[in-house]
Amino acid sequence: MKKTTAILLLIAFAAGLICPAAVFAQQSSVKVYVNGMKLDIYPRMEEGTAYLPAQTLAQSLGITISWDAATRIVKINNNVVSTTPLMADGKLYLPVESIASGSGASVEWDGSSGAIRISKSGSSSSVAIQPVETPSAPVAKSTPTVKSTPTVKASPTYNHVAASGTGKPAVKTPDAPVDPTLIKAPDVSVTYQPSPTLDKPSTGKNPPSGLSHKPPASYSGQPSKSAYPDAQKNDSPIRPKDAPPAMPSNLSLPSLYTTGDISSPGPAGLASSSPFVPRSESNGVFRVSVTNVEVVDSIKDYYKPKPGYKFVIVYLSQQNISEEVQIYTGRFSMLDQDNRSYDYIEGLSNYWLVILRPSGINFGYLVFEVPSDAKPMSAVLHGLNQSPLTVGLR
Amino acid sequence: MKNKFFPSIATIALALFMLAGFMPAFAQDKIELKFWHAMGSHRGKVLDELIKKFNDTHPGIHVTGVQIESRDKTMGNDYHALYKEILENIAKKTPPDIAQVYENWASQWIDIGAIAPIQDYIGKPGGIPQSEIDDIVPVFREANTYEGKVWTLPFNKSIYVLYYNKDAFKSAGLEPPKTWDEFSKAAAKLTKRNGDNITRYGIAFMPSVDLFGHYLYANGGDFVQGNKAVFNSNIGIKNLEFWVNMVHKDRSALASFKDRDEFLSQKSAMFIDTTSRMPNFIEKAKFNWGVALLPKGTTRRYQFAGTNLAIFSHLSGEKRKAAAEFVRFLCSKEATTTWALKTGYLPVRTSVINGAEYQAQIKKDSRYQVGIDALKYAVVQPKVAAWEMIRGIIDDAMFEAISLRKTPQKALDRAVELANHLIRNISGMLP
Repeated sequence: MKKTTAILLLIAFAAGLICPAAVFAQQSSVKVYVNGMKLDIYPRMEEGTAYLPAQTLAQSLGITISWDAATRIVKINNNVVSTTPLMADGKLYLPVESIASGSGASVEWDGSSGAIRISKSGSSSSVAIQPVETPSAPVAKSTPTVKSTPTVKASPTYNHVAASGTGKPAVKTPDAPVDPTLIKAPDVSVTYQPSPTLDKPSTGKNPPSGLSHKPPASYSGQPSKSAYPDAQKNDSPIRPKDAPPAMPSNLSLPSLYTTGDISSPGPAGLASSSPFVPRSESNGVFRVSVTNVEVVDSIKDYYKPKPGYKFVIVYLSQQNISEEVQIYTGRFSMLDQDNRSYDYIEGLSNYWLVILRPSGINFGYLVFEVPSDAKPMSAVLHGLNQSPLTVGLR
Repeated sequence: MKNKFFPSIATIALALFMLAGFMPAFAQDKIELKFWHAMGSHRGKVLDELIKKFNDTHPGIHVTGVQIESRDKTMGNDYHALYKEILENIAKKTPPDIAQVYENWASQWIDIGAIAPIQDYIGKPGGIPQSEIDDIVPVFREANTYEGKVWTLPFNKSIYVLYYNKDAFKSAGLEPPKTWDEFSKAAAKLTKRNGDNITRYGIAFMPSVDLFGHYLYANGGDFVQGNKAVFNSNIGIKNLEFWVNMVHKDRSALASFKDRDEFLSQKSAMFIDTTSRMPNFIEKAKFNWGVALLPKGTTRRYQFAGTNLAIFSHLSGEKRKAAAEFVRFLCSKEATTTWALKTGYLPVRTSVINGAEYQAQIKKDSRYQVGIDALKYAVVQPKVAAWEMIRGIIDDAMFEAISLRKTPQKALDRAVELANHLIRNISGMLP
């Protein structure tokens, strides 16, 4: 019996893949808010139960949801939850109650605006890597336990709203969705202290043919057990096997990609220039955040600009702030003080174009090779059917 | 005489005129298909021959090969260019009809409905017989299967092996290393020192995700499990420590972005690359060199590389069927034999591996047997949509550790953090 159900579920999942074009179909027009932020998802109604796409919800609530197809066990934050998931459109859906009970969130059915409101204390209103996350984002009342029986069972009101919903709440409620574009980048600087000297190589020049450093003096004479100079100082506890890495809860994008990881110090004088203040701009489709700009004279200790040129590294993120899936996310270029435009060097950059779902974020760095006298003025994103998006770099 | 001659010319002219009038009608009947690929130079020529053969034997279909090249000749990567071109044109609703795709690209494009499944034509009248699918090397068939369905078919496949300088091994009295422990010992023994100066390293390697995978997979590690990056496991850290120690402690390895040149100029005695490098070495290497299986760890698992063939979902009816027919042809016994013999890629069919022609090739040069042996232990890199980005992140982490900017643990912990953010943001599919 168990086996049969598992097989049926597998078939259901496979069947979901057969019609992938339907992935973005709106199942009902009931709106879903997490901590006041409207999500671009719509519940799927099955036998009076509202099912929500697990992944989107997990992201928004900052929880982990795992599903083992073989055992059919659903875990929320590593706790087994007794529930029956639904596979549709190749996605895992969970009843909203089970998400609530498994994650300690509260769920409210707002009949007047046709919305499900999920609140969870301690979670940010969107994913942790939100580049312009702000602690002042409206967080709904923190309720550690499930607040009454979530009234998401289908009711006449529900059906009525579902049939006539317009997609926009008519009345502004205290936890109305916040336009993420209104959150200004300087908020980020509170949590982000650029430290240009961090993680810079401490060893000398490398042989021209490769990355093989001359061994640091500390262990050249008597090879110690470990070859890494700071291994002894690294007091991070040894994690139990296969334990997930600790995820700082206040993780913001600037701390993800730090400077100096792949580059060598830039020409003298530039390192002492004032730290770059992260900033972001949006055009209604994307928000581009530049977290740092670096001028360097080599990449990976090997790649050097041609004579009379220098490398400029732009660390950035790009978020889809539209309500649609963005397949092609555009091409970046850089402008200098004379309006000269530069393409980035693909082979040295680490920015791979990806399909971005609503609120999805891509990030990485772009490497430009520019004449020594060029001053990086702005990064420009050229999308398909949007006006170019310009972010200042000075 | 003249009077008779002129009418005949007029008749011919009239006939030609009429024919010309009919021509567009004929041309319209022919199904035109565009095949985007990244195969240049010699491989491109072999592919063009195959396309011509298909067109000659399929009068109703005309396939045009379109080679997508990176605009940046020195730093560019043609596969990256191909990916970007396809992605942009999917968005513009002008995708190719057929294209080379990696497994993780297909994951993304299946998810948005841009690719059509080959499965629809398998076992159907006028379609691809199931026996042809069963004949595909199991690991390749598996790599092209998503949720139980064959979406794409394998094309230019190769697998990672160890290249070694036979002369250097002989003078050191060594056999190719069978375990990773033997590997590092061999590297140390092969390293030639002249005072503080090293004239030959045991191995030269580029710090990259693929290199990271060899030791990892051989010791039971994984990059991604389900929808989670896990390559900072104990094995992952041990793996990176292994390479860092060889570079900085033993000083038997040279981390280099031109590792292939180091091997060719005998600056290193070993080199790790896929089997598709063989024709190039046969032409370029001026010393005796051999091919061996990569060392084993607690187990044997070897990464394979190369793309598959996909047909795109904007095609319908007869056009889609014609595209499937072309993909079937490139994966056929005949085409895969020609392709393998002329380019050095692995045959993707069991019948071709065991066939007279490929066996003759092995008899002529036994080094071709190694790739076939390795296939038994082949493993596919993650198929999650974010994989292509994660690759770059692991490249960077590997570099950070090898250049002593970070400890392996620190470099990998952060890389895993970044990778999991990408998986959550991009792939959109739970396992």
